[in-house]
Amino acid sequence: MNGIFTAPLVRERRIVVCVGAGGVGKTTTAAALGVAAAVAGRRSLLLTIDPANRLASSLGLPELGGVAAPVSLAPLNLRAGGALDAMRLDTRATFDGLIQRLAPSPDAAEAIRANRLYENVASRLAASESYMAVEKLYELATEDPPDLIVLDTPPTKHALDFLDAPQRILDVLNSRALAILQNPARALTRGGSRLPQFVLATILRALEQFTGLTLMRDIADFVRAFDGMIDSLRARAESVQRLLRAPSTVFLLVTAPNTVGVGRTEAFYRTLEEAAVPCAGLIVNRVLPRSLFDRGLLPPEPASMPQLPAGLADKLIRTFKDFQSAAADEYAAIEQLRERLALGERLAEVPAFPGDLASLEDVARFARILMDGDGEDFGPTGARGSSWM
Amino acid sequence: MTPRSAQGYENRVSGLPLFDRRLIIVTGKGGVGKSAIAMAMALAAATRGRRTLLVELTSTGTLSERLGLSRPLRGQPRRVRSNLAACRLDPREALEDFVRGLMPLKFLARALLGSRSFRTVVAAAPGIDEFLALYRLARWEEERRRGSRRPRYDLIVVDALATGHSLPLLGAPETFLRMVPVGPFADLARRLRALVTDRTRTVVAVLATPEEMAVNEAIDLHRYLDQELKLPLAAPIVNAVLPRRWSRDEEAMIGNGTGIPPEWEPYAAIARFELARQLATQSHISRLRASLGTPPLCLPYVFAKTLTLATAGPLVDALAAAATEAGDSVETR
Repeated sequence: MNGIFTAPLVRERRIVVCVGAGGVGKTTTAAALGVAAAVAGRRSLLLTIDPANRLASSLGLPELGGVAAPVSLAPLNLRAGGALDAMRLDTRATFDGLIQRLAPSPDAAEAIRANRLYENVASRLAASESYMAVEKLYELATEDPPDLIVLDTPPTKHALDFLDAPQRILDVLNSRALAILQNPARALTRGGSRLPQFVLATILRALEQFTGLTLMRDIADFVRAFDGMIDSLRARAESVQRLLRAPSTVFLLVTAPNTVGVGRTEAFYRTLEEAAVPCAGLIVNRVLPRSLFDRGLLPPEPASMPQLPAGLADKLIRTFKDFQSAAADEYAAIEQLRERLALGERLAEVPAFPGDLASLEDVARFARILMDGDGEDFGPTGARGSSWM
Repeated sequence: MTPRSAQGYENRVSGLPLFDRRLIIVTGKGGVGKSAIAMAMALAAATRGRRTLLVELTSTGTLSERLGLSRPLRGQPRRVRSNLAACRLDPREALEDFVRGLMPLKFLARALLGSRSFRTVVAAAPGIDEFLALYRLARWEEERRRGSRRPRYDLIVVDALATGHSLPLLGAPETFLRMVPVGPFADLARRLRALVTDRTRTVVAVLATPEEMAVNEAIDLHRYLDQELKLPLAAPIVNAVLPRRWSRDEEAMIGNGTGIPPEWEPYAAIARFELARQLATQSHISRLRASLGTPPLCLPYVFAKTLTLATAGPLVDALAAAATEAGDSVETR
């Protein structure tokens, strides 16, 4: 009965943020939620980080770009008004746009973009991607927003890596760093060192000569270039944080029963709670299908069973035992999570697809499973059912 | 992205040279089993009598649990079993080590390290953390046994970070040299680059699971490491490949259910599920092979809750066998 938990989110919220570790199917989950919202008659937008080519093509797009493109959901029965757009986060372009928007002058923006450290900060720091994901979300949510935005996020081990990203980037650019670079000796003495200033100044000058560190000067220039816009960046980051904690926003923690341990999923969830982020619950992907493994099947007694070609019975039994014990571990892990986090109905399970999601039909099937029990009509795709479930 | 033929690769090493290199770096997408495979590689080498150090790079790593240790790993290597030690690379210790090496006067080093501003600057400078991590690895590589010229560790296996974070690590010397082209720091960066690009000492293993995203990432990463960073690359590794247990006849029977009595049908349905997975697995392996022009090394799926010292046996065996087969020779062209 996944739908009890997921359907209201897709119908009523304005923003759904999918978070979780890497390799748990976050992007697919986000796509399926977007499809489900469209089927329910909402204008939805999917913002993904780095989708599989196949996901893009399953959404009928040659590739996902940095600009929202409409997805044709023609085979599905959409309720009136339902539509889905999809786009991919372009970290660098979003960063450029932010600089353009907040720099005090075009010259200031140019100075930043010309600095050779900018490339590193804008494209290479892991935190930048998270920062730009929420920045883009903010842009989309404040300028002609659709009914629902589904945000897929970069994989992070800690929930806070994602939430703290803007702060961490801003710390890099803050005035404290500026102070030390403009007058390192004074900043160092203030920082707790008891050495006389002139001693430190001498050491640092020697150090700079010795090391040939033009790096220090580069950082200083870079930080200075940002100086004029730090306040507006910070103000904007605060607005973003408020948006993430708004009542119309909801976070979903996506996990898989085998990739990430129970302990780590639990820790991730609790961190979200502590950060006062409204986490609606858990989506557990890639669960070994209960229709196959949770039906009280016992190992067969070959003696009492019809004869099979030589060796086949043994292999069937072996396969059964291998998967059965793996499945039992998975189900136990899920119950543990449900209990420890007091999730009750706020946990949705999606069975492992044996192959990949290759078509819109597959994404729609995923969506249908997520909304299961909700009675939503997904049209011919949904009605067809499948051979393995 | 244009497909390249195998001949386009200049830095590929054949197979998995597990027994005669000094540094093995395991990387790949998140969730593909890097730490389990790194552990199995370390075990395979240790079992062969190589003194091995297994290094974890993240504070959220799982190695201590896998190794059955009661306390989390720390910066100082700790003995796990015969020929095997493990540790967790601590960026702060790496920084301290670095500053101490830089400033012979202890009180100066302390003053610098004690300053919050200094730490802010270090955090601000892009790539510094990665640079320091690599520096620490290089120091372990250089360590010698007491009273001997033989290395303290014959092999260092690094459970590196997921792709997004390990590129900065492996590219740290390049990044650094772009910013600081001359001076002693640049010399150090060149030394680190010499270590990671030295095909007689180092090899990078790119790991994937037989899934769309993991394979895409492995292909991109493999190309990037080869073409941009010129790192010596082992054959790509595909982890968690389901065993092929069915004959063609059996596959046909299971596939369409003919000749399967109803009593057996629930069990055949499970086999069908496995077959469908296997089909997807094979298509991903073919895609990886076609894109990189080399057969990947496939490791078996292990039906166990978590891979620990106790359950890693099949992986250790597979890795040891692959390493032996490779003949440990550097491909020459």
